[in-house]
Amino acid sequence: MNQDEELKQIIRAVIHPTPDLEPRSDLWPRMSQRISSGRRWNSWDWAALAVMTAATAAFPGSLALILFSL
Amino acid sequence: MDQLEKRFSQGDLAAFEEIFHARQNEVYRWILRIVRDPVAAEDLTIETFWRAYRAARRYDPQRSLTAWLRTIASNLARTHVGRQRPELAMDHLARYATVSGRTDLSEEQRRALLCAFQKLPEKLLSVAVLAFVEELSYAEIGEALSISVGAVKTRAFRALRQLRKELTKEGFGP
Repeated sequence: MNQDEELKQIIRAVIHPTPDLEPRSDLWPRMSQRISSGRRWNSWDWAALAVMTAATAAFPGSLALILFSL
Repeated sequence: MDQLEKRFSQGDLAAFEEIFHARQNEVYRWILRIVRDPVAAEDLTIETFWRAYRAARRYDPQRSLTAWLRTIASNLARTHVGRQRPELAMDHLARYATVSGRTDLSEEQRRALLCAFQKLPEKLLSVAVLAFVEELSYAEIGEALSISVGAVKTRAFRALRQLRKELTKEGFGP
């Protein structure tokens, strides 16, 4: 047996393949919740809007830059 | 073209739910093969479907949905593996290794191999786990990781070389 094959055999002996597991429960309720929360604005969205509004008010010239980067 | 996949690509939530129920286990198992952590695999399964849902309108129904989901899942799983702490990675690698077919390996040898595995860069680690532990074909690995079969072979070769080097350094190694 060559060295590569021997090493592969050792790997298989030490690290076993994952069994055919399933999630502990149906993941749809969590998925559904994620979809609902994704549709609402989160705190980061509001913070980004606040920063952009402040930047535009303080430096009106930055509006073009913000629009360009969107 | 599958009607369900077409409806999904048009942003139909009911179609998405149907696809989710039909494929959540398959996506979960695929992620578990890479991350080897059942809890993280659940989170990453949801993240995979969330990204798929958001990108639904960019999905081409002519393309295999399985392959598309697997690509998203693989990218997320690999990022997760790349970010996890080394000691945690070692626990996850050893997770399903409670019974061994080979009794001639000492505890030190097992430890050294896990340690050498955990030191592999993420690019090599994912390929090594999928090729040598899960024994998937190079073609299947290449498709899931969006790399060529040649690249899979190269990474597998480099992974073996690095593992052997590490094991030799520890005084073991074939």
